[in-house]
Amino acid sequence: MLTASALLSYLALRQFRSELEPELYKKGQILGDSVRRHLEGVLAYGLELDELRDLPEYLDSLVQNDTTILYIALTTPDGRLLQGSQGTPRSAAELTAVPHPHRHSLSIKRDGQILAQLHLVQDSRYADKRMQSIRLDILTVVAIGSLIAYELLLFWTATCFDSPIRCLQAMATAIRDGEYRYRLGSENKGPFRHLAEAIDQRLDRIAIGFAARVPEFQDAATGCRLAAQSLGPLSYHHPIAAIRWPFFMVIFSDALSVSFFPFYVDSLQAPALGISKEILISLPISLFMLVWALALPFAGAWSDRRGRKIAFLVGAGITAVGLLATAAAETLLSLLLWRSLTAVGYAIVFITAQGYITDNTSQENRTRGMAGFVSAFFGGMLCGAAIGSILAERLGYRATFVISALLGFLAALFVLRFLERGRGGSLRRLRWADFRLLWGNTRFMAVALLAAIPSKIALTGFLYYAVLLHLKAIGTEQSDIGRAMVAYGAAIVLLAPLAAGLVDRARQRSGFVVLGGLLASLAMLLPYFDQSLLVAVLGIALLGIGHAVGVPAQLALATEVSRTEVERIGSGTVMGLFRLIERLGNVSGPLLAGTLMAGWGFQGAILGLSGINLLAVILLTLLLSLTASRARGGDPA
Amino acid sequence: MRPANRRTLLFLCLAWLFLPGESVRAEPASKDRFHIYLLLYRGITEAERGFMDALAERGLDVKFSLRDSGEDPRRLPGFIEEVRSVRPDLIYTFGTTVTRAVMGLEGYPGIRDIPVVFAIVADPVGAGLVPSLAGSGGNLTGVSHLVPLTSQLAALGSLVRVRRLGVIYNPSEANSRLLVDQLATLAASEGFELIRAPVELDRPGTEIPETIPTLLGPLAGEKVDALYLPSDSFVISHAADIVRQAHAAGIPTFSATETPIRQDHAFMGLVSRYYSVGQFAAYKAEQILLQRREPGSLPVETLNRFSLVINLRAARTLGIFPPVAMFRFAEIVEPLRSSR
Repeated sequence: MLTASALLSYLALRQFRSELEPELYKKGQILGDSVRRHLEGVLAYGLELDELRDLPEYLDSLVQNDTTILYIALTTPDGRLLQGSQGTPRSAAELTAVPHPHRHSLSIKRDGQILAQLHLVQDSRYADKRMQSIRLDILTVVAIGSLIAYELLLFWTATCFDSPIRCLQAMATAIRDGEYRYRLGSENKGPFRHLAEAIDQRLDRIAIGFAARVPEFQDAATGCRLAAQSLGPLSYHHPIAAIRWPFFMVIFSDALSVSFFPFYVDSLQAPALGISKEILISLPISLFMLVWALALPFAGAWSDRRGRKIAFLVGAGITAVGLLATAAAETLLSLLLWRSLTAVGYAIVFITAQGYITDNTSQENRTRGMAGFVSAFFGGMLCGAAIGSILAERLGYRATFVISALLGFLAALFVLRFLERGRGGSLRRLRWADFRLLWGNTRFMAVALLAAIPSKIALTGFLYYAVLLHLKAIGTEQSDIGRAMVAYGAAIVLLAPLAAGLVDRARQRSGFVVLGGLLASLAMLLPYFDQSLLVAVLGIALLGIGHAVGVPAQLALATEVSRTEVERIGSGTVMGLFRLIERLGNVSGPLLAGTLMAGWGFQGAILGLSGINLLAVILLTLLLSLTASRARGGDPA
Repeated sequence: MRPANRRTLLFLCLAWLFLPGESVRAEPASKDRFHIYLLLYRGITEAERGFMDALAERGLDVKFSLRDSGEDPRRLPGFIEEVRSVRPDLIYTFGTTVTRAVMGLEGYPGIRDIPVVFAIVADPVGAGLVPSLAGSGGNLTGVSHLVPLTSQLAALGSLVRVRRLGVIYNPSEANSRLLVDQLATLAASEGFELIRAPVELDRPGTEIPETIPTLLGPLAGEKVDALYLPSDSFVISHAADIVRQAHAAGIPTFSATETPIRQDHAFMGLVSRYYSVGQFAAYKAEQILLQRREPGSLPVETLNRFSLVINLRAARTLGIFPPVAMFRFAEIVEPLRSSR
């Protein structure tokens, strides 16, 4: 796959390049001619060259509006430099003497007399820059394609090989124990179908042969059991693989818009509510997070009642419809409505996937199952952000939302075909009393309020909102914005397992939480000092590192400091409450960032976000150390 | 049939459903010969040319009767008496003063039973002609040539930094008083100083052109950065004098109307072109004559595209040249050399 895409990309790029160069040259010619005609028109009014006011500014504006132009300059007919845009070389000799393949020189005449010479010089590296950007796009697509292929492969090997082999193994074990009454069946046996059918036929014949003599055969000496009536086909269902792929698709489809969502909101007509633009743009993100958080408990209960298959189908369907309607939204108000709908679908899918894994795992392998869930979630986010920004740049925002919707429908279809009906109900519902119980635990609340919430504020306020507007403002291309966001996901995916291992072994989990918080504060502060793409990417990556170190440790620390509560109401409930509190950060992040940006600009906003984060870390450290002795005294274990 | 044609046909069918029957085509109506009275204040302007040209282009057969007051309001009551006895199909009025007289707002009876379409009224609401721009409810409608003052001042500001703005006007013209009040409000909010130069009146209602030098001297002494010439009949008819003296003192002139720039060498202005205003007024007249619409139900409108007009000869006199980029959209009058 990699070789094929590399070869195809290479051929396409070569073709593109050979067509790009002459087009660029033609464009330069047309532009130069239009400038010449304009200046000749002005001079024809009878103005003299030195009466042309703001000529450099005019030339600057032309250069700034066209990335293919390096500079435009005017010289006298004998080659003295008159005026030039920014970037014009100092010496006129350099302008005129050197032959230049990307220079267009035109004479500016009045009544047939040459008054000046116009020189428009194109950026020879423009084609290279374009090629570079396209190469990066292709690289992104190939890399993400490989990740998606990996996800597919996981599913495929699980259903086509792992499941039938497990069945064969079970059958072999049964036969070893003298149990001949099972059959393999031909359902879901993949490439082993014919083998399974042959074995079944052979067993049937043996059973019929024996049954002619004895109806129910059990040989006391050999311990073999046979019957004409089989005990039924064996099947092995791979629960994690079956849910992981559609879950990945839904997350991926929604994440397609993550990297450009604020710009899409900005492009819609907004009602005049007297609210600043920055806050208006942040509203749909916050609302999405809010509806998502509010819908989760209801979605969970409903999913338990209706069964996972139907719940996932409905959830993915609602998400897809919401995304389709988002693509068609004309006003901010309708967008808010459709995003809320999408959030409900998203909540159903999220809680159903989580519930499905809990249903189908035992206490021992649940952690592994959840790890698969988390990696599918972040993988989907990462792939979606990168691919979505490329799609948006090529096809536009609305078309990308339509693609998102189609993927959502595909996920629903997939579930229809591959997911087994299962009834859940294993999740214990949250109760008000549980919350009151944990509210009394200062250390738990400190971790939730001062570590978990600031982390989520950084995620939604900084990464999903402020930094996107910042990158756009400094002139970053959409596909580069998407790639910049990937830095966060990549840091998490690469570092989180490593950090999780360290956290498990470490005695001082609070150290990791504090370190993660400090790193996140520093990360958000980086773009304050330097407004370049590189520093922004560094900030995003550092935020990912901070969260990879801090977030798993937060969970571990929260469980650790609430050991008594965990014993009373179970770790699932404690974790559920922790997650619920954490989502407050998701909701408030964009609104907070939007308000800060409206008042103090991007610089002020990141200073504020970083400051809030830092303040929370300091308070958390103080609270934890103040309550440390009490915790030890009260809990001798 | 190509899809485009089919779409056009569909559109026409739909359009036909929504149009009142008698107005779809002009031919049957053109059998009627309409009589329109044009009541003017200072001779035929581009606005009347636009008005008459547009009606002719629409295929209307119109007999025009012109009455010009020659800037003497005292002649207006006579015109109104004449109109009342002749009973034309429609009256076209030029400017605030004539329109107010025809509507009976100047102390003598006006005309309330013949449709009136006005043009070149800067502020129809402020002048008391209509309660709102949505419609008069009576026999009057028309087109304003008003360009928002903020846009005008922004245009001026793109060439001249204005800290002190002079305005010369005739306080006996209602629209000029309104304009100066608006300028004063704007001066407070935009942070510039407004220096008023009302034309001294010898007798009530009459102005003396000789007072102009006595007005400009103090304005120059006040070091105004620019002089605003409102849509004021006195200022427009004496624009040549005013502009010459202002430019001699190095004060650029900004005109609210286009004639002073085109004919009297005023420096610049952001204007509704009179010709276009006249064309728009002709459209209103057509709606009244052919479609039998009630004048009071038609909105009073203003153009939404303005022309930035710059007099290049004045620019050279003042030494203030427009930026090169401005030539892309500005209309240049009086180029420095004739051959283009």
